[in-house]
Amino acid sequence: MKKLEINAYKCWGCKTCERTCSAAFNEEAPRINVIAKNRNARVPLTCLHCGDPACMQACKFEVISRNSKTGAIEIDLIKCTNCKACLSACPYGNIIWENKRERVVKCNLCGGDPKCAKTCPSGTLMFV
Amino acid sequence: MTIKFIIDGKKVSGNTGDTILDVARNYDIEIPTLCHHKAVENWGGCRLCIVDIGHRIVTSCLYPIKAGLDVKTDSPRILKNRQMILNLLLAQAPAAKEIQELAKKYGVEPMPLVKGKATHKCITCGLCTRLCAAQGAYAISTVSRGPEKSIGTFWEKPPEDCIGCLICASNCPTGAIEFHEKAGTRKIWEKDFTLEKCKTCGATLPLTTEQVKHYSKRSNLKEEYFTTCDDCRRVGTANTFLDLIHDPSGKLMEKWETAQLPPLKMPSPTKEWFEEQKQKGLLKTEKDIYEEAGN
Amino acid sequence: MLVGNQTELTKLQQQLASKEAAISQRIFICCGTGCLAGGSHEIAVEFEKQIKEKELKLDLEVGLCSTGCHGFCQRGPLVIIKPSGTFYTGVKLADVSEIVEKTVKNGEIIERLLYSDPISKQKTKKYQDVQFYARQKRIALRHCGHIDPNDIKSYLAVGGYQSLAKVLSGMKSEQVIDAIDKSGLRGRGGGGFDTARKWRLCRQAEGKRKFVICNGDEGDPGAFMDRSMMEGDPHGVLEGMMIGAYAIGAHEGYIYVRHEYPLALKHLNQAILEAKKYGLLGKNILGSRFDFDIKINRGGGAFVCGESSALMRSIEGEIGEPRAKYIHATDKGLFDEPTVLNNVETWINVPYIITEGSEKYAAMGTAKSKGTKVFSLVGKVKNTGLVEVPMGATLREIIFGIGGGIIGDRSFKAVQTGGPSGGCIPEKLVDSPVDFEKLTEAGSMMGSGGMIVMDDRTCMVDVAKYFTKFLIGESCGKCVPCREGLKQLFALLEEITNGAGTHSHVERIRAICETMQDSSLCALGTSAPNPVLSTLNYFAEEYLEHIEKRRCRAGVCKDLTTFTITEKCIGCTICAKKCPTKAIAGKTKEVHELDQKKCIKCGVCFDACKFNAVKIN
Repeated sequence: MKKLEINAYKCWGCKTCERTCSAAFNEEAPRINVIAKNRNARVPLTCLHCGDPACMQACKFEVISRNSKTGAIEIDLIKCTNCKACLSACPYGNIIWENKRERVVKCNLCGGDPKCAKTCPSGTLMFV
Repeated sequence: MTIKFIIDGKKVSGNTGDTILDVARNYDIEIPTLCHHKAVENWGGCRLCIVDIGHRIVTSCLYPIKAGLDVKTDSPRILKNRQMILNLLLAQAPAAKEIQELAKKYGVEPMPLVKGKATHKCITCGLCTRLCAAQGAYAISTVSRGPEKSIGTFWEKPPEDCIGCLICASNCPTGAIEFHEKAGTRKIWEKDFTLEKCKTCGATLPLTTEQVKHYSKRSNLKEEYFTTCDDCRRVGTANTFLDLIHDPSGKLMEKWETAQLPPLKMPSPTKEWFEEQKQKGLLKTEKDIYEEAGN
Repeated sequence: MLVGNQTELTKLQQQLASKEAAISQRIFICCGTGCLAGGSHEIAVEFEKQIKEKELKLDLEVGLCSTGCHGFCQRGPLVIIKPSGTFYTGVKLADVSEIVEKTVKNGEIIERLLYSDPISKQKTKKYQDVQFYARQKRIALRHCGHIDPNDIKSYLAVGGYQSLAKVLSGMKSEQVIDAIDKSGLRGRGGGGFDTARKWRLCRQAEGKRKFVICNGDEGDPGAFMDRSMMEGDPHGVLEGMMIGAYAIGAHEGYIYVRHEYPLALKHLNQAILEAKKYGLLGKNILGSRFDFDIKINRGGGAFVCGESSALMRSIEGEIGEPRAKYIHATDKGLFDEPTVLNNVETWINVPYIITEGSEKYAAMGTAKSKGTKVFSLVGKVKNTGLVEVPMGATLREIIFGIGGGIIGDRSFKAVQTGGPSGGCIPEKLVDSPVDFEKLTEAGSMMGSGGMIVMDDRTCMVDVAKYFTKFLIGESCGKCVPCREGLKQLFALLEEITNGAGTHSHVERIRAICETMQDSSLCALGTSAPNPVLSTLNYFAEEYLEHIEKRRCRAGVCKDLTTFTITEKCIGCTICAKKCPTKAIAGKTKEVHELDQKKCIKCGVCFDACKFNAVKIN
């Protein structure tokens, strides 16, 4: 199973990934965020698809599950009740509240073909 | 087991235990619903999702699929019933915009009926109470029965058990449950809540104190998990990442290990890991990776 | 004392029966709810006292038996003296000593306490000769009024628990179901579902636990047959349930009784305790290794909890609201396990079928509806009470034969069957036989067996309004058509009875009724428009009269009625005396006058006038 690798030392902070993600899902808030500490230290953060995800534990309604094909942790938006438990449970802050559509979103690896990895010019994001 | 049948002349298939509504939604066939929510048990209260299976009318959100069914979602009989149900709902909740839109969509001719209060929006579907129970709060319930039935709290007092999670309000099909949020406080069901503040930056979080307690108890995660804002958490994660990368001595590796976070199952780049991979001859150079990626 | 096996049970029965036969005079005092209200408990105590005092002098043994309901509560308290069969009605405390002195001691009959037949106007001496009983065929009510429900010995003496012993000692579960199948027994709760089929489905279903439930949540206004059976023959219910449980392989049973039936609850509790004491309930029943336990669940008195799925939710501790039955209770019922739920009357028929044989039971009734059915005959008939007749008996037989005709010999207008969600059957169909199919065809239903007789002083629009109002109060409110539809129906009917009705009202009523029938969630919702639709179909002209002529022919709808006194008045002053608002004035032997301003249109004058001088306009 392929994984999205984040080689943070390569990132130069161009935020192409953020823009790609926004464009791909037509969302105001991208599911990947580049956090900058200083000029030389930046890292793009997105869902890490943890082995034992805190969001899955926090959800009472069994809305969050692992996609067996891609290995991604996904949210069933039809079943979701917007209780925001997952949002606050994620220790990395990688689940995003979309204000406009009033729903929670997170990276789903674009269904097994992450667009951010394709457009990343620096080789920070790699789907291998 | 896959079951094949027909909806509106279209060949569809679903699994054992699916309802007609499940399959119809999978195939983007429209069936209107109000009281349905996938997170809780199927209810069958609003009756809008009725479909015709030839010899009788059934509730699509409850009817388990069978091989050879010929379902019609918009036969004249269904349409007539749906229109009457919408008429009845229009009379019950004159202020509900969603009902008015549905009525318009299904070409309802308004019937002169006894109207409820002009500001009334609730259609007594009870979705809020079911979600509240599923959330584990049990703060609200249906009260009384028949046309008198309403949604309410225990003795109509501010509910002790309410955690202010807004699950009732945010899922109400007609937006009938009111709440107010102002300057770090939230008010719903006449109960006042204080919103939690981010313990790092002090920004207001969308969670009440009770909610944090409830979520933490329910999920066996520490309360601290819930009391940091998204931005601070991301910065924190990024810092850990970056410190890790920009510390050649490798001392911060320990910091990573000791951080109070669930362990990452992604291959975290510890020194030992690098060594191990090298020994196995599996470790690729950056160049190799770059080339493999097709650039 | 523990009964170990079938032989021991038979021996015990013979002992008890011979003991009872040795008693020369037995006095049966009805202690059902109706007669208790008439003071039958005090009467029973008094009898005991008097007999104790006189027993030695009388030189004969007198047995006392406080029984369950005889089904003739109208004439209660009832006393029967056996073996002569002398039948006394309306017995008062003061009559006790006279009965003991004259009837028990000397065998004389007290004329004034005898039942006088409303048709022949003659006094009837014996219980067997009373037309109300003689025309009935009592199967389900076979023990009611003839045994002491609080004493298991009384039940054992008449052969109780013999059918259970027969089943446990030699029949396979499939054989039991076959026997029920051959008898053609159908559910007596209203739906008329084939009982054997239900049991078979449940037997074949897979589940960790299986349940049998007895539905004793009788909610129809005016119906009390289940109550009487639970009060008068609680062991019969238990025995039926045990046989059913054995047939489907269940080991747990529930009896759901509404809390308005305290006596039934008391008797059932007592019966369970006694049965356990005798080893007829609990572990290893009659040495057959069959375990069965029964719990009693008290209902809160909601009409909708008589609906099977709502009842099961109620037992589970949830809100009593029905669920769709696309998955049968025989697969997923109580606690999502296979469950058989039957009405009290269905269960009580089971021991009879096992002992007497399926053929005997199947010989009664019509082609599709076998056996007998208990009806609760109430309303404007002379004899009201519990009536058990074979399926296929005509309404005329029930109302005019057993019921003795209409009170005051007024004209018969309609009969409402099947409880609040049944329909009204007009006079022209009074000769049609009563069974599941025929009643449904007529736009009504069997229901649990309520039967309300109406005379010409009944306004059919008002009747529809009354039942709609009852259903509004009892609708659970889960689904829209029932909850909102009933509300709107009531408002429309109210407008018609107020004189504001138009033809479009009727159209709207029809449209709402159709939607309710088509798209309600449970059977209560789909049958809720029955009272409205059946009156609309059979008494359309009455609706039209309300709308077009603004007139209510029965004089019930106050806004459409005025009472006037005609020339026929002979000035007897009865109406003036009875008028609650003193609206009638006039001298003796002169034509009276009615002040319309004071009149509240209660109709008392109309009912009181013997000379038809009061007219309804």
